[in-house]
Amino acid sequence: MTRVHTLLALMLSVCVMACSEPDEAAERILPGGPPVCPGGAPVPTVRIVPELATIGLNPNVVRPLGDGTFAIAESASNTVSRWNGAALEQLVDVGGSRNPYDVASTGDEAWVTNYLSQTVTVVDLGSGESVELEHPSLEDPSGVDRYRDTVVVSNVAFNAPTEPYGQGSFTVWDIATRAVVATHSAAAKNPIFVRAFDDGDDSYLVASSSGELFLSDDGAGVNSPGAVEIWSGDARAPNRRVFDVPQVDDPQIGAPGRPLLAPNGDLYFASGTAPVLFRLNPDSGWVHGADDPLRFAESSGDALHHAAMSDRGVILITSFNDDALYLWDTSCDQIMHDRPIDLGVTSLLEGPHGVAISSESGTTTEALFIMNLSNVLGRVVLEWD
Amino acid sequence: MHRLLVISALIASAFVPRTSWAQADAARASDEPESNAESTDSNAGSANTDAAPSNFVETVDRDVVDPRAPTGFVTDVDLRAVSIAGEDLGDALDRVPGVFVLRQSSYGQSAFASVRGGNPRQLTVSLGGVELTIPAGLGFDVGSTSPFGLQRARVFRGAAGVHRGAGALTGSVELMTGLPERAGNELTFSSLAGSFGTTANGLSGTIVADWAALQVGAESRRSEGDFTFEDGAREVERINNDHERQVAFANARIDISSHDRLETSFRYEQGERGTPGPSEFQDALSGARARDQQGVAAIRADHRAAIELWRYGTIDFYEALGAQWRRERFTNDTTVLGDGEFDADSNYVATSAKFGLLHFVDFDDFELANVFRFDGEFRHEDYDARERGVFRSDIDTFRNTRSLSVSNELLAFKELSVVVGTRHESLDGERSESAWVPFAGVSWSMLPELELRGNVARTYRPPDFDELYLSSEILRGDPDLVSERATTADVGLRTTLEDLRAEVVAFANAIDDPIRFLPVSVYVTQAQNLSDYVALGAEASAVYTPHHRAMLRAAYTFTRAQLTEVGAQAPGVPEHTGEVGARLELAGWVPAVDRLQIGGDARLRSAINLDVFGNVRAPAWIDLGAHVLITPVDWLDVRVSAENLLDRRDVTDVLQQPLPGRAFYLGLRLHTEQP
Repeated sequence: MTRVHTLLALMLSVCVMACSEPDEAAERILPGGPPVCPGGAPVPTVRIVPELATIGLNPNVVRPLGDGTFAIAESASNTVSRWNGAALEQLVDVGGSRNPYDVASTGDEAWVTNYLSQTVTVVDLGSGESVELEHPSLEDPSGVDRYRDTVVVSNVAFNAPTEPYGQGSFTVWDIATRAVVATHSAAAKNPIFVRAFDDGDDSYLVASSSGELFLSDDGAGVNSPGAVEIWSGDARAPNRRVFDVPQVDDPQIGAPGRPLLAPNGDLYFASGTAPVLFRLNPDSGWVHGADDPLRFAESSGDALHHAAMSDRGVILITSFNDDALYLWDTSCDQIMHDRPIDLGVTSLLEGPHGVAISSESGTTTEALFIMNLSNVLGRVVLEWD
Repeated sequence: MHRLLVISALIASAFVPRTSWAQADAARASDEPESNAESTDSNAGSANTDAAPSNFVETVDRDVVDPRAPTGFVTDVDLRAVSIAGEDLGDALDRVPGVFVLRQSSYGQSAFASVRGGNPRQLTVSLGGVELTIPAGLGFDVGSTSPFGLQRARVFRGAAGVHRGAGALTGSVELMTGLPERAGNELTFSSLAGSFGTTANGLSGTIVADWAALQVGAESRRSEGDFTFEDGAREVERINNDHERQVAFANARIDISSHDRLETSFRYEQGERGTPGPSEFQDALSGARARDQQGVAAIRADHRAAIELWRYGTIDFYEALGAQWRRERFTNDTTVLGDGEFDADSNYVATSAKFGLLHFVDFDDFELANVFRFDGEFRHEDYDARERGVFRSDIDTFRNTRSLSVSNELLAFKELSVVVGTRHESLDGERSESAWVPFAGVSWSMLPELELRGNVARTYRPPDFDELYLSSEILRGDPDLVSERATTADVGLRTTLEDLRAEVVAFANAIDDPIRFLPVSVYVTQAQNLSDYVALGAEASAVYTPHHRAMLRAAYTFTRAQLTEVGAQAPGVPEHTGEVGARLELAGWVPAVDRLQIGGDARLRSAINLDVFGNVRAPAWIDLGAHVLITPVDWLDVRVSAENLLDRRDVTDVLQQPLPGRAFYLGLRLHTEQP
């Protein structure tokens, strides 16, 4: 029976080889360097922790809740999770066929837009109890943010891939009563993002409309003008200034994304359809508009980008199609690393789809990013020394 | 955007002459266990059903020797009881070590089998000797295909499936119809009723004369599929999960002479079912329907010992023709993205011709025998598919496949068998390529009760039509894909004692350029070749019969399967699966019954990854089942069975495709005298 024993030993060795656990994704470090332009920020050392936690399916956004924690809208799980810096917990299950798109904090509550159910879910951040709000003006609700004593929801009014977009609108809710107090038409179709910048009496809200998006064999593009509008005053009857984003020869140039505020007061927008940034001076208009965008990568195609602004004026840009992070210095409008920073842990597309600054100090900036396809939360640390 | 469904299957043929194989087996091992000896007498696609096992109304499996893979690891599953057990083909195949079945929903809904860490596309399935190559989709659907009228499924694991040629990358399954050899007539009515609005009724008849046999049958089954599942703390009703299916078949045989036999078979199935959406987005597919029709026909002629070469042996010949037609249509009046109507329609037709010869010679003086085989096959496939709606795609293509295969088996001293051979596959159409598929195997009876087997093969799978030519805006094939190749190897021991049968096998599959549909951009998912894929594992099974009234069985499979560039366990491949079961026959102790059998099973599946990154997991579970089988009179079998007795409702094999909780079934089988 010696041969039998030999064979069993062989089989056992196969099992031992096969049973060993794979290595966990490890932290990666990219060295920094001097500033890319006079007076600019030094190129930071970048530390990437690619897999902090596994999150729900197809996360769409990561946003701060204001108490040091972060909400992650997990669109295909119909859940919103909360990351407290060390652990993840489910904040709310909004229910089937909701498709949560965005989430914003009002302090005690989180407001979640449910794209498919034409509703908004309000979650008590203390108790976790939630209530779902309906209103006839909700039409594919997408962006959401607190603005003064209201919550503003943008409605993209997407009818179907084969039908024209609706005009798009904004629904304004009174936080205290949870009643709709105003609705406004959007300046351009497809108002996906709203972002309020709280500066006391000078608070203002910025909404960006992509215009109609189309999908072809060559990727995504825009086939109607977009717009950025800035609201000031009471959201019930705001003062609105509109900055058009005209169509240009290249249909992929357009689709301004989530508004970012630079230290110098200018607004930046990462394009949803091209590797470019748009820069807007709220007082004087476009610095780099659709006809003169800031290109941060040479790759073309329908790369979806999201971005976050650090206190130092460095923009962190996630690029879905190449699993990459780009750093952009707004002091001189230049890219900071000569090549994209890989956020993935495999050679498969993992789809970075959102980034949010989680903490800043004199020497470091930390940000969280989400991977839409691999469903993980990661962290990137920029070390400025 | 949820892309569902798709398409269909095909045809071909593979028939093996008998006499020489029986001789070869006699030479190989004269003391082969009874079950094996019987199975070797069966030809491909047609099972000898003369044996009426004591556990007739029970799904059982057993290791067999197949003459086309004499050194391979091959297992037969008895399908005759499946229809009245509330089970489907997938349930039966899932009992075989090394096989795992991914279920998408309840009885009658889609399920897909895979072998040794492969995916369902990497497995060929044949029906009645006709190859069922799936032109597009997820692989052969062992859930919705009716098992009615099928006698056995023969599972070839790893290199044992290489005789099926292109497509059998990790194994193959042969669904076998069957006509008895002994003269007699039988009429059988079977009926099933059970949970989730399930009913099935079937009628079949068999006439067997000394020189001919005829068998016809038909079945209709349906299910509402209205189970509830757990979504966190909520109980949610599964919607649009109903199905109905009809099947009719006819098998005939004529012995033209003592050496020549003509067999033909025909099978038709049609069905309609709801295609339930992801559990989190059921509304989006609440009106989605899938309809299919398929027909399979085959005719073959065997010429046993057609040429006698005196002391230099005999030569058998066979010729076979096969055909399959399949139409599938999927419609949905709503989509996730809005009101875009979706309509996908496909037609698939395949015809095949196959021929072969076998030369057997026995050198008694030297205790040597030799079996030489030559097989050839030509197959033509036509496939057209249209998708209309939000996104559009058109495929209109064809493919010709020419295969030649030679192999030689040397049998020595009644304890050693060595097989070497190779196939050459040549494909042309919109894409042309060819591949050599070499294989080798050895079996050695180390002791009278202990046999060592080992096999190695370099297998081959060309891309399916959708992997090549799908062309919608969001889901695309790639005409430049490289065909998958795998080096598959196994080694194992089999023992057969008076009351114990056991097998333990270690296997390895190294797949080059595996093909997966994966996102390549934010909007586009495309078929692509990935880096290497490796599956290592072990299978163990044992059947212990301590008493003629009792039987205990256990099976376990370990599989570590990884894409090397990901490093996580592959989706849909559990690391651990296993089953333990027991049967106890009480007839004789209980008066007034011909048979009273009770039994129970526990099937274990470890946690399973639902995504390629290994970040989305479904929990482990144990599926407890039990049954009682009563034969109060010799013309009636009654079976009461229960599944998922622990009533787990949080289980899924596929992302957001929940499985049902506890279910009960009552099955009846009324029959006249068995032939």
